[in-house]
Amino acid sequence: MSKFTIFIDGLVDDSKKLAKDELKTLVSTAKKDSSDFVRLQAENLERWTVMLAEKDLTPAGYKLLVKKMEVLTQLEVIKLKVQAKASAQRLAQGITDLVVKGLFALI
Amino acid sequence: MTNTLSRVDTAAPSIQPIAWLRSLLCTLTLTLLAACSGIPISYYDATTYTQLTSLKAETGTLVELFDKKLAADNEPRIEAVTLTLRKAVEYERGKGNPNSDTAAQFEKISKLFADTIQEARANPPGKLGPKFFAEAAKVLGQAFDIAIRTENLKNKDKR
Repeated sequence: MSKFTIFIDGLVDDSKKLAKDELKTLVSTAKKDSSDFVRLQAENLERWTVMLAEKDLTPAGYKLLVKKMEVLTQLEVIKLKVQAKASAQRLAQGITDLVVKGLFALI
Repeated sequence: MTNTLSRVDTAAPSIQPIAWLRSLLCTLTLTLLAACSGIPISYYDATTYTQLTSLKAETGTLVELFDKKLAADNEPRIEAVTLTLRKAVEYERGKGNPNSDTAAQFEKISKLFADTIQEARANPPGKLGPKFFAEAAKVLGQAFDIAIRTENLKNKDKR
């Protein structure tokens, strides 16, 4: 069992606020995701949780780091938007160069 | 009359497919060009790339310090890095609407850095954990990495 799993399982949660199994599944699934970004975020969350368990981070420090993940997600969303726009730009440029200037001259 | 019509009908199929294809391609081209002009995007900029890689190193090495040193003892360095970051944000904003995505990334990174500096000013070394600022520096580095990859996704201007 990983340190992450041991820590989550060891948390006392009488009021059942934390869905421990769902959290463990979320992290283990995300670590196998095809997206580099999703894998990196799962690794961040797991590492910080282990650091919390080992007292390298206080609960306040842990919460601040987890909140910073939201900014990374916003940056990744912009990256995906730019990727789509750049593809459209390449297609439009390709049509201008190859079709309008090339094919149109022949037909 | 009947003969004339039949001559026109037999000649038409050899011309029509080409005219139709040409018309389709024209429509397709105009639609795509119109669509692309509606979604403006700037070209790859080597200055932006250099600024991102330099700022990644500068902000990261500064933030890492705060696990051992007080922010108050590093104010001149904080101000210098903040100024460099602000200049970079202004440079990106100055490129106008086609560069709004990259400008938004710079603004978000700038705020992430400012928030981290505030955390360092409010919390002496160790208060958020002995390795908090090393991890905060990693997050900042990851933020710059996303922006660097974003710039690399852009097309090169061939003009």
